[in-house]
Amino acid sequence: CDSFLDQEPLDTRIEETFYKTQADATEALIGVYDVLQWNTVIGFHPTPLVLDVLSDDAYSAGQPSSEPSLLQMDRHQILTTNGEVQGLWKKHYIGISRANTLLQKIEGIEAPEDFKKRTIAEAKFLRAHFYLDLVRLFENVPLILAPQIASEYNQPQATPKAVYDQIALDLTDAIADLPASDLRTSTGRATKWAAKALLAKAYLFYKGVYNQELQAGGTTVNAQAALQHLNDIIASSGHNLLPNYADNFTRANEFSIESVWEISYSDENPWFDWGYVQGGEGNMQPQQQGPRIKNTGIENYLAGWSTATPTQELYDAFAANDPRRDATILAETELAGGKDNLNIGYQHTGYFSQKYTTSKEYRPSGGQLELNWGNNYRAIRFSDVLLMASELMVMTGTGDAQVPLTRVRARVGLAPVPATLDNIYQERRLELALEGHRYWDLLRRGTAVANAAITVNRSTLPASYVGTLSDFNLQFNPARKGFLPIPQSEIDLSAGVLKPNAGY
Amino acid sequence: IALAQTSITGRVTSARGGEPLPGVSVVVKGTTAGSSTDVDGRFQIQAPATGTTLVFSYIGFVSKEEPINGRTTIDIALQDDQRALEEVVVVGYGTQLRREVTSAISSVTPEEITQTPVTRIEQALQGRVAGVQVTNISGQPGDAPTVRIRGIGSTGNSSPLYIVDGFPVGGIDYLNPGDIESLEVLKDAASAAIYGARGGNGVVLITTKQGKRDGNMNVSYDGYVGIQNPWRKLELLNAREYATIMNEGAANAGSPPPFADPSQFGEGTDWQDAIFEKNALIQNHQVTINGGNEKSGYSAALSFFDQDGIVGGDKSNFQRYTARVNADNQVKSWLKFGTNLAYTHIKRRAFDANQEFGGILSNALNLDPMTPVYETDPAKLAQTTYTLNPVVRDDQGRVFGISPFVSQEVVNPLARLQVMNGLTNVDKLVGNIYGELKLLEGLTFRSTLGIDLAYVVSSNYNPVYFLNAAQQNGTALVSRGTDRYYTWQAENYFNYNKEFGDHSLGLTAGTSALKTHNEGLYGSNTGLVTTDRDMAYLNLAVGAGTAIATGGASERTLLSFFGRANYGFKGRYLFSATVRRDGSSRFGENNKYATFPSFSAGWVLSDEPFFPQSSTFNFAKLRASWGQNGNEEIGGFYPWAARVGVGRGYSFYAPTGRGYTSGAAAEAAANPDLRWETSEQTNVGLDLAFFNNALSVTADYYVKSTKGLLVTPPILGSTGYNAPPVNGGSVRNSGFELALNYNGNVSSLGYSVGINGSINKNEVTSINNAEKILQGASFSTYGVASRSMVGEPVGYLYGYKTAGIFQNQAEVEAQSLQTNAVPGDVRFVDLNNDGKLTGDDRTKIGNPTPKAVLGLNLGFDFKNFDLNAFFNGAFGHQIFNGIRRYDIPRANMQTKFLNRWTGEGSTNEYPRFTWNDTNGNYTKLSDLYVEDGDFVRLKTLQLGYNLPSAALTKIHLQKLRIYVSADNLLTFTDYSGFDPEIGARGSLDIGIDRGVYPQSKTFRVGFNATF
Repeated sequence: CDSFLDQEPLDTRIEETFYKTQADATEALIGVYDVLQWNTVIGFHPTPLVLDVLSDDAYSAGQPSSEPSLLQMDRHQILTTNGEVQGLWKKHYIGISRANTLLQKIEGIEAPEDFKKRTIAEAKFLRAHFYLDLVRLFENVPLILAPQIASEYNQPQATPKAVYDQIALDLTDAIADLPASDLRTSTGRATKWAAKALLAKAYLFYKGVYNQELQAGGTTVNAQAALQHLNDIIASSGHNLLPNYADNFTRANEFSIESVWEISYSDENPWFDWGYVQGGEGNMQPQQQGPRIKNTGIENYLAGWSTATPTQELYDAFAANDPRRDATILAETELAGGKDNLNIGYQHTGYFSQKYTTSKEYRPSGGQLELNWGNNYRAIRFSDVLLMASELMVMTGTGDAQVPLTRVRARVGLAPVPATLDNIYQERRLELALEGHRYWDLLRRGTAVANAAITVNRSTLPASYVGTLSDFNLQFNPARKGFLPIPQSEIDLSAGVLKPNAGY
Repeated sequence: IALAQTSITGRVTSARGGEPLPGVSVVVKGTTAGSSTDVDGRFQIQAPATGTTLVFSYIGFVSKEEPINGRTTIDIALQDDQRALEEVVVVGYGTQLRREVTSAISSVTPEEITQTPVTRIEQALQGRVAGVQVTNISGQPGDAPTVRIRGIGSTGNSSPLYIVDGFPVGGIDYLNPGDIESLEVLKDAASAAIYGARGGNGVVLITTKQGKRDGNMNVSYDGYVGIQNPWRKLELLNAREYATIMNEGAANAGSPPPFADPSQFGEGTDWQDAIFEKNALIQNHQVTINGGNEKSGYSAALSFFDQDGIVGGDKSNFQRYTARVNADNQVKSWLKFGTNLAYTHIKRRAFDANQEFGGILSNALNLDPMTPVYETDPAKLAQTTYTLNPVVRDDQGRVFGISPFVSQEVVNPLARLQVMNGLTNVDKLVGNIYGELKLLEGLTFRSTLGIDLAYVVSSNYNPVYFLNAAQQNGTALVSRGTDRYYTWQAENYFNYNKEFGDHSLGLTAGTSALKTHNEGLYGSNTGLVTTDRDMAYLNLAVGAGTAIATGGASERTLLSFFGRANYGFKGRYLFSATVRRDGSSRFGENNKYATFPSFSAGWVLSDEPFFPQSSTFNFAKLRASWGQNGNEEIGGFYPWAARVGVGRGYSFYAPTGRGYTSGAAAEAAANPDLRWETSEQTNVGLDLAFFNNALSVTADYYVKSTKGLLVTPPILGSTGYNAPPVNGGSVRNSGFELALNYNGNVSSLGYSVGINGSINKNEVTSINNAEKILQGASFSTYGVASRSMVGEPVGYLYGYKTAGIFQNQAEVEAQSLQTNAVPGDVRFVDLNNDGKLTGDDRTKIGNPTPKAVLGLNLGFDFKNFDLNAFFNGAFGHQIFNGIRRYDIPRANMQTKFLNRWTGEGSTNEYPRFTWNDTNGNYTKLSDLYVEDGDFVRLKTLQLGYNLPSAALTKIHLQKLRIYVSADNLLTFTDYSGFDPEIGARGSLDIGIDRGVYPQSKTFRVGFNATF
């Protein structure tokens, strides 16, 4: 009789019987990749968008009523109960948990050694990826490296050093076993070059904020080592700059030779469920950032939600002859119907992102329009590698820092500038604007720099802004060093094991 | 010895209606000598004139013994026994005499079901059974009402268990109301405990019509045809008022006025007129053949029901065809077998009937009156909005108007209807075969095998369209889905009934096994090669690489053992005990089985020697019961499992552009401890009868506590797991029910009065998640509008309290709470007095569940006429009027907002109107949205006429009744929206009006004819 009652799901596998075969391991690995392209889980905002809103390059432009969480981040008045913050926390740990499970279970799977090695390398790359974003956002986080049973759930926070060192170790391990290929050859899966670039990124941030070297197990990762990885990419990877800067953000140039690491989105799994957006493959960033157009027939864009409006400061940072300005920012004056063809949103600056937007070439072919934008996120471009190399060359005094910097400027037809740290930082801002890098680049230069850049205290509004002064004035909070709060729900559930971040 | 025989004649009539009763058996007591009445109720019989008694008996009436006492003419009125205490009630796995019932069971008679025709069975319960609350969630054909027995018993599924002819069915929309013989509601734990893990929300037992073994064959036709219209239209701003208000809103926001000289505008478009159908048709036809002899009986019926919606024309329609055969045969004196078999076909087109994001009603109420239904102005049609986009046209090619003012989900509702093409077809077969074996005197064994098989085929075609910039579809999509459901149930049980002197004993013991299997297949594709929506089949959708196919299956099982013992002493002291043990595949490994006991007792006081013998107060019974039930409807079919979900995919690079690959990951941690929800209920009741049963009174008091409600307590996000559901909440319902029925007559005017009412108090007593809260409805873009919390009712309305309007600048400056406020804005209350207006200041602003519900039936019959009026009402609850989309400043509004604040002293109720609501007058959900939902409704008024028998014989009919009836003729309510009945949308989203599909006022003409 009991067997009559033992009904296991017919169309769903359960954990006890999964993770047995090579195919299972592949599926589980894809499940880790899946989390890369999630939005904040609670809210519809991908991480790069959140980062630009936190920085001085974009306002939130979400209504106080409908998007209070994003607006709090814009204003650096973040409550510990902020839903999107909680969502960011959850999202990264889901990715980590999936990687941890795979890394543990793969030991018991029957499969060829080279398959196992590469799968482990990819899982470690992805785990490092999630931890790097997590620790940069929250600073003090539990370091969890294996699946947990209920009694192990409540873990205290690790030191930032322990987390960064683990990132360095995972990436160093991954570099050894990942393929030395470009992303098209790897079908968009992690490559040796992506891991090297990510390690250099981790190093620069850690060095900038904590002024220490990374320790990958027994190996020290210092500026020389980080530079060596970058030089290796420049010399041996085959990655290169595209001739035309703006081409980077076209559909034809997804996984282009300039992309060292790219997070993929598509409309191939047409999605309709607003309640579980991450179940689809669409990128919410274009929908969020697209201009709120009334009549789309006459424009090259479909109607978006005009979130994360670029600031006048960013617009003004570009030289008038810099083609990157128009490739980065869509000004309302460029619309065929002009401002009249727009519904004016909150914190309207007259500017919209041109990089991740509702351009018609990306019009989803199926599913709910808003949920199926296929614009890939170009996470690490080769120009980023060049600028990081230039910066490390200045820091270490090795190599000619001018060469990579000039290469980046020459691509857009601009004259060389001296390879000083200030010039390199400025070049990073312009070259990588609205791609989610600016906030990290501010924080790693110290809270004073971040404060000076992010705090806005205007007495008059630029001509294209719509709203009142108080909508646009912001105050950075140096006591918080730019980190997000440990979510209140986590602190509550941990019964005090988790400590709040400084300033909260 | 032959006594002198006298010829006695007389006439038998019904005590209630006075109409003649044909076919009444008249027998001389103690002999086989008998006769029966003719068509006019007359009889003739030979019997000794003295010392003899005549026995009159007739199915459905109380038998009567009449001493002759020398008379030669004897006229008799028989009481129909439906309301008598001797009636038999169906209980689980058996029947019981009403007078011996010790638990709380209410019955609805077939007369009540058929006399005022209902479109769904649930409506037959509305207002007729004390303690049952039935709320229509909308007026859309085919929408199932919300049914709650003794309050909301769960934060999950609170719907009762429906058992039809012993078989559990998921819903009862497949049933033709005309097929129903009896309907019982098991309300307390003692009556429902025989259904164990599924009885926690009460049980509705339905028995369909069986063949009458009276040697006759009856063919009857029942049918009606009616028209439906909305019972109410909302007062909305016309174009002139709209322009005025919008100019004011713009001015208050510092924007230039959008309309020059509002007085130039007239009425504009009445979107309600545009979407409402005039005289939408409703019709029902049924033919029944019923008959049998002493060995076998049969009942067969065919029916057709068709209802058009009052909104949306053919896009909102419900059709049901049913065929039923019930037959039984007494093969031997010790063996009987039979079958009940019903086939139903349902065809339904429907849309979301209460939806603020793109609902048809919501669109009609929010779209500006400036926009025309059809755009005919050549200048406008030359604009790029119309020339560059795939705008929608009606079947005659007219272009639907597109609003330049109101955007987002609010579009021309007729254009939206034009592009909606959803259709659902259901084919369902429900049936059983049973055999009954008489083993010994009083001992029977019954074995039943039942099946329920359903195919649900849904189809949709989403064409290319442009409704506005936010609502467009660029790629036409054809989709089809087929779901196959089946359930089988095998039950075997013994019944033993025996009387030993003063003792009576009834025993029931048996087993039940049930298995449900669902399987679905869905596909879609683009590239439909025709524009004919009727040809939107996948075969004609040829999009390359866009075809999608998916599907799934699930299964559950239930294995049960049950027993019941009834014991009575002198019919005066009554005891009953039941126990059921259920094993369910839905429960976790550590809790596969559950046991549910109950005990009840009754005391018939009126049988005691000390009770005064009187016809004025002729019956009294006290009842008390205690028991436990379960609710097995928890979290899907495998709530305990740690499922590894697929579709956790990623789009890898592929030169073809199609690199999406599925991945897998665990969805949530497992919970092997998961178990049923347990409801424990105590009931005390009283049954009284007066004036020889002319007045009956039933009163019950109950306390029902449900424990182990499923909640999902959050776990640390750092685990990376979703939390599994656990049993961690409880709810308490307590209440009082009263039912009164009186039958009387004043000479030939018969009348009946039935009143039933109930009061229920619902309270959440624990929620063991971190917040101690369950979020309920979220409304529009503003967030949570209702929730559940310890100490409050389930799904209470939640928001800010307001304290009037700032009348002048001094009042604004006198406070520091609302820094953006100006005169005319709403004053919110800082409830926790922390000097800040935050989310913590929100509180309970209403309870959407009525505290009391009431039903009132009035019946009159005079000669061949009968008149029936049925009122129902609900009291003590609030409705969240979320009809207007306040987040869309240019949305239209109800005229009550013309009473807005316009200057000091103008009003303290409605704030100023502004496009820039910086104070959050409406973006902060508050008591401004909340209105009282009390109502009383004349649900049905019906006048019937029975053709006299003389006329009938000429046209070879036994019976012909003609009636006219009106539904929802009168409604008394202060609620300003469409309908004060707003049911539940999901389990915790109750009483939120998002622009609900209104109920219709229906007029019908009907016939009942028996040949």
